[in-house]
This record gives sequence, structure tokens and C-alpha cells, in this order.
Amino acid sequence: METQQVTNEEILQAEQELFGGESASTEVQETATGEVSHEVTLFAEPVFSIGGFTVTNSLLNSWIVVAALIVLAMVLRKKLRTIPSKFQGTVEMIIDGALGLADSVTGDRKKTLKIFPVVFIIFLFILLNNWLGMLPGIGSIGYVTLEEGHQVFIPYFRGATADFNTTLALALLSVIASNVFGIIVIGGWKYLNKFINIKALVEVPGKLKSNPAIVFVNPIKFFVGLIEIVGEVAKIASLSFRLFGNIFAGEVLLASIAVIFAFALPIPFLFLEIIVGLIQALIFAMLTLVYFTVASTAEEH
Amino acid sequence: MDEFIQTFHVDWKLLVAQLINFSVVLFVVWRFALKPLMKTMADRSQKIEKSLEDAKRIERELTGAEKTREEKLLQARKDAQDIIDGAAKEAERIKSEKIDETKREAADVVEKAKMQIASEKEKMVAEARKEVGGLVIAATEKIVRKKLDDKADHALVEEVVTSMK
Repeated sequence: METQQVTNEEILQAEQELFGGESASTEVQETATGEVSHEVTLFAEPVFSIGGFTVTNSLLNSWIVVAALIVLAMVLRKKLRTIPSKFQGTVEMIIDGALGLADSVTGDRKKTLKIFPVVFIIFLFILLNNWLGMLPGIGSIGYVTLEEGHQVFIPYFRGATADFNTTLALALLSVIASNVFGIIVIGGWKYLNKFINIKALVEVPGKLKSNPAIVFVNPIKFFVGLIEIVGEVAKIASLSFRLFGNIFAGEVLLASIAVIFAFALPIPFLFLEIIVGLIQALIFAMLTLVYFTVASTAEEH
Repeated sequence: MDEFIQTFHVDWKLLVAQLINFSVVLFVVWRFALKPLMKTMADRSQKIEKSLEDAKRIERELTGAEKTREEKLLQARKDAQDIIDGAAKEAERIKSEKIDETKREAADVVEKAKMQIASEKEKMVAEARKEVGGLVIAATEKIVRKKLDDKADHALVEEVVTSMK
């Protein structure tokens, strides 16, 4: 054990010596051929670029998901019958269950039907991206390149939800869409008053005689509205970081376990990650549904 | 903030690319799969509801029809029974009438026969009496050989005849 530690330290030292100076770059190619850095990065690596637009490995993955979903949609469209086939029946069962679940949040089938398509497709997109990131070959097939003096392994594919860009895009879409939905459903003026509560300030002089406590209550209401603005930003942060963190952590976990022992040992963790992928997709979709529902509910006094 | 962007490699181009990805999925899946599928589901559930209602209605109508049929059958049976009863009564009546008539006719025939017999007998008796009278006269003529006057003759004949009776 001790000897191993020593050797590790020696290697580290040697590496520092080797890669420390800029002048050592020529030596790198010679010595580093045997040692390729295999770490999982916090960001998606660029694979190639088309006219100034860098295509990252996670973008490639999400294109695969897009293609898969389009194919699925087309197949379903082709096979759509009044008397359902097995495939259609399965899809219908899932949709029925999802509708029931959504009903329990919105409490109204009409409202559910308005929000449902967006939420359900968010769920599908995230779920497929989560699961696709775990397929064998994704994260393990790639090429070796020289980067800042290191030889670095760059995989061709990376789970799209293990890239902060994707989760941030989805979170932004979710929160912005929920606000737009709120404006459409309950009207611009009412919706504005949720955040900048002008109505509460204006009604103070009028109601002062009948209810003196309003002097204290309504300014509080106004500040609560301001806090709601912060809340919207927090929603974006929590949605995007939760999803990114969970999926990225899963990939790091799987990679670490595979380093310890590559056979059989990662299997239980793979199952765990399947469940995590499902749960994270579900949480993201459910939270989006909740945001939509809350946004479309008029404030009541 | 810069450090944050550096750490996570946040790139607005990639962000927009992912947004476009999702938008494409949203549009395609919604337009070509989810919308028609949910329409199919709604249509189907509507159809099933209608079918169930129809089935209920048909059953109700069937029960009604069964009831009327039974009622009609009962009525017909009753009518038939009435007709049979009436016919039996009529037959009985006709039968007794015929018997009566026959009896009457028979009686008539008997009466007529009796009357004929009586009249015949009377005629025979009258004829016999006439003949006997003639015979008596002849006999008496022969016996007496003399002819009494007509008045005495007739009185005698009368006397004889009445005594013969």
C-alpha cells in the first residue's frame, strides 16, 4: 500500500516536472504517449466546428435524441388507429398515467390539456437524454488530442443533460414559457402585479379608513412581489443545476466505479442511474408543470 | 460570473442550439404524435361512451318490446279462449236447437201421420159404412124382396148401421 502511494507521488512529481514549463512541450509528446488523461470534465468538449460554430459532444448526443424522437413520432403517426396496436396502446397507457398525474397537480383537466404537451415533451426529451448518456460507447469512444501540454481523451458523445448548456436552455425555456403562459391566461396587468405590486400600493389611501392595518400589510405585499422576481431566477438556477448535477454526478460515479473494477461491479450503479435519470426527468417535468399552474392561477385575496 | 461561465463552458451559441433542438422536438412530437394521438384517444372514449349509452337504450327498448309482446300474447290467448268459449256455447245452442227442431218435426210427422191415419180410418169407416149400407140394403132387399118406401128404407138402414157400430 505504502509503496503504491510512493509510486503515485513519484509519478505526480514527475508529471509536474515534465509539464511544468512551456519549454517542456516538446518532451510532452515523447513521454505522454503512454499516459492519457481520462478525466470526466465539468463541461462538454468540442468535437469539431462548422464555420465558427463549435459542435460539442453533448450537442451531438442531443441531435441523436432529436432524431430518435422524430422517428418515434413519425412511426406513431403512421400507426395511429382507433383500435390501438400494441405500441400505440403502450404510449396511450403512459399518456393516460401522465395525464392523471398532471391532473393531480393542476386539479383541472382543461388546464392540464393546455400545459400537458409542453411538459410531457420536456419529460421525454430529458429522459431520453439522461438514458442515452449511459449507453455503452457514449463517453468511451473518442479520440486523443493534445491540450495544454496534456494528452487528453475526448469522447465523441456525452450525455446532453450532463452539459450545463442543455439544462440551462431547458430551465430558461421552462420558466419563460410558464411566465408567458401566465400572462396569456390571467392577463398582463394582473400578472405584472404578481411581481411589482402597484395595485397593492395604490389601494392604500382608498381603504385606509375602513382598514388601517393596510398601511403595514400592503407594503409587505409589495416586497413579497419583488421577492417573487428573485424566485423566478432561483427557479432557473435550481432547475438547471439539479438536472446537470445529478446526471453529471452519475457519469462521474459510473466512471469512478469502472476504474475500481470494470466488470459486473458497475451494474447496480447502472440501474441506479437509470432510476436517477427517470426521476430527474420526472422532477423537471413536474416542477415545470407546477410553475405553469402557479403562473396561471390568479392571486386571490 | 466570468469564472462561472468559464467553469461550465456556457456558450450562448450552444444554448441556442439546444433550445432549437428542443423546439424541433416539441413541434414535431406535438404536431405529429401527441396531438393526433390525444385526439384519437378522446374520440375513442367518446365513441365508447356513446356505444354504452346506445347499448343501454337498446336494452331498455328490448325490455319494453318484450313486455308488449308478452302483453299481446296474453291478450291473444285470452281472445282465443273467448272465441273458443263463444264457439262452444254457440255449438251447444245450435245443437240443442237442432234437437228441439228435430223433436218438433218428429212430433209433427207423428201428428200428421196420426191425423192421416185417423182421416184414413174415418174415410174407410165412412166408405165401409156406405158399402155396408149398400150391402145391407141389398141384403135386406134380397131378404125382404120388397122394397119399402124410401123413407122406411133409410130409417131401417140407419138403424142397422148404428147397431153395427
